[in-house]
Amino acid sequence: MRVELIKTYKSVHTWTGILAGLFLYIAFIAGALTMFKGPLNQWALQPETTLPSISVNQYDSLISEVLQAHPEAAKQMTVQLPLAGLKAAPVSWEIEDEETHGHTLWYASFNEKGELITQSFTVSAIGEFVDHLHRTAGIPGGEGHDAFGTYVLGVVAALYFVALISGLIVFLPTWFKDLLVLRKGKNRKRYWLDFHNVLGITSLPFHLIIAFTAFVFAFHDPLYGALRVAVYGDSPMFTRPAPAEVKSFSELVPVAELETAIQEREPKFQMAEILYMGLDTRSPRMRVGGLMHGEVVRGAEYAYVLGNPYLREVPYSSILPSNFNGYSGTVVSIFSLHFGNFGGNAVRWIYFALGIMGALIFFTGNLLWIESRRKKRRGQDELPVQTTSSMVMARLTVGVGLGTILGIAVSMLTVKWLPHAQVDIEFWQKAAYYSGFFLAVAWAFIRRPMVAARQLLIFCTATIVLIPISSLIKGELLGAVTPVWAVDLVALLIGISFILVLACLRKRQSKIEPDSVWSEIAEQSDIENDIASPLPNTHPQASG
Amino acid sequence: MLTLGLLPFSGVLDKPGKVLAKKKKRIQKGLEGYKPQWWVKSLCAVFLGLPIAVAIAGLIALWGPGDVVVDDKSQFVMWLITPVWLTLVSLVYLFISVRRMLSLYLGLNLVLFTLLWVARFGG
Repeated sequence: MRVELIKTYKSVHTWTGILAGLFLYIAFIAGALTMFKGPLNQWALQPETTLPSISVNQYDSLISEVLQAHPEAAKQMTVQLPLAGLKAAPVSWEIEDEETHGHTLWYASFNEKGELITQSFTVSAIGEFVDHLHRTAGIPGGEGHDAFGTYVLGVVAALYFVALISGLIVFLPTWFKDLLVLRKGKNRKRYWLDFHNVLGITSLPFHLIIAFTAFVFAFHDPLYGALRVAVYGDSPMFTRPAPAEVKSFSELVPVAELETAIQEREPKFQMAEILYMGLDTRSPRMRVGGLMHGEVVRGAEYAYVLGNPYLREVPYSSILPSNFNGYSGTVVSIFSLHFGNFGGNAVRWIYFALGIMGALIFFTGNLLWIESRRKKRRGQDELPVQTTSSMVMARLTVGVGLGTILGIAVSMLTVKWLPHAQVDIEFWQKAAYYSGFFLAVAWAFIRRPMVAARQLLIFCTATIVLIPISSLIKGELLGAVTPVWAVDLVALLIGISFILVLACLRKRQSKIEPDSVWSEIAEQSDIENDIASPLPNTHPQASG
Repeated sequence: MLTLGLLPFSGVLDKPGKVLAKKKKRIQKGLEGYKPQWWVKSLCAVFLGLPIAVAIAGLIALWGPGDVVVDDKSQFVMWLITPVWLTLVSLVYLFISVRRMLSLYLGLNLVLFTLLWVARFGG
């Protein structure tokens, strides 16, 4: 039966959607913000933890002086060229304590007299933290690529892919009737369904790409493993450069010559960052990142060239746009389509919008789920008891939905006000996020969902508006570079749009039916009960 | 894409379409005896779909244009697995019953892995 088929797909869609929805919501909100990771990082820099920048021709001497004074930097050292924008320091490296496995970050530059200055501190890099949230949904455990949350989100991404296809199959039979309409009648379910469909259909290609790339980002190693077992066997999958002799640091290719060498292959390449690895080993490597405006590139921001830092040639160049073959072109395009890096700021803003739209799909999906499980009152009967699951879902939707935003906003405020030179800012920004997030979730479980939603929304708005106000009070807006004041401006605009949402919510308040989980009537009676009897409240709706 | 999202607010497209009765009947007949069985189907799809996807990717690795061991090609082949696999998983509920689904997925596995073994060891 056709109906049976659609029904099956509907339950597949519901189950996958409900399981994945809240994780995806966090990942999409953080992902939308990650589009502006660079500006966020620059916004968080403080003068006490920023070393002076140097001119292009000073880089070679800085690199060699750092390697002389701190040979341990040869293991892994990052060089930020002027094109990379405002950074904490031109050169940085990480030292791992062999006993505690703790990491210390070191930064180096020249002072006005041209003397080497090195310093160890932690920078906030709030953009990196938001990126981490994007990749793990804030699920703790593990570090870097091996974070536990990455794998959870990988599985979530697979569910999300199935949810997209099943949603499409459910939608297709009535597609023409429902395509791009929004019916705002009495039937709330119809309205949310239309909204959900419009969002889903208009951004479907984006979502399909995001879903399967997110899965591959999490699980590429097992997939390569499967290929090794089934296909490649003992033959190597990748070519490796033959081990070379250990060379002295003075033989490193100078920065300017490196750029010339790369530009012979790729004229539009503008070098912004060099990552040196294993400079004192037999397999020294480097990864050069460069800006290529308007091109499809491999990284989130940069096009990358991989090579040997002691050799002038560019061995692995097929990931550069001019040297694409069918395979590398496809692979790099897939990366690029996930990162939204192919059209400068315009595309970044489109991806930001698509990210927020994505978050709204999961949000409306949850509302729809709640609405279709609503027990309706018949005539003048007593109010029916809503199911525990729809009540919990309503609370989670409000708590997680606003908690993510509150967490990020509180984290940004913390970063702005705490002195980075004196505290471990990485720890505090994380602590601030989690306290904001869990406070919101807890609050949503304490009050009726709609009351919690309104109060949390006010709280969120206040916190977000405080972000530009803080920058203003600290006097950092004067003479700030564009990315920095843009962050504050956008925060202000988001704050204003939240006030509009709040106004809409107030307007709707009187129209909420008393038999909805969003109704506030039950709570009023709770309060009356509390006053009337000192006994613990056993009203079914209070516990529901 | 984004501008399309604004269309519903104009409200001009609010006209129901008609589904042809004939077509409806045909689809209905084709789905006679449909069983959801979606737990079993999901599990089978996940575990039988993956080898199918790996085998397809593998055949492209071995027979596709270019040498077998090229960095770009290995990456491309790895990327290919996931969309094929997840599509196989998503479409599995279209099968009338688990039996039909199993016969197709097992059959595909058999054929593809035979081909893959020929490609790997047969030259």
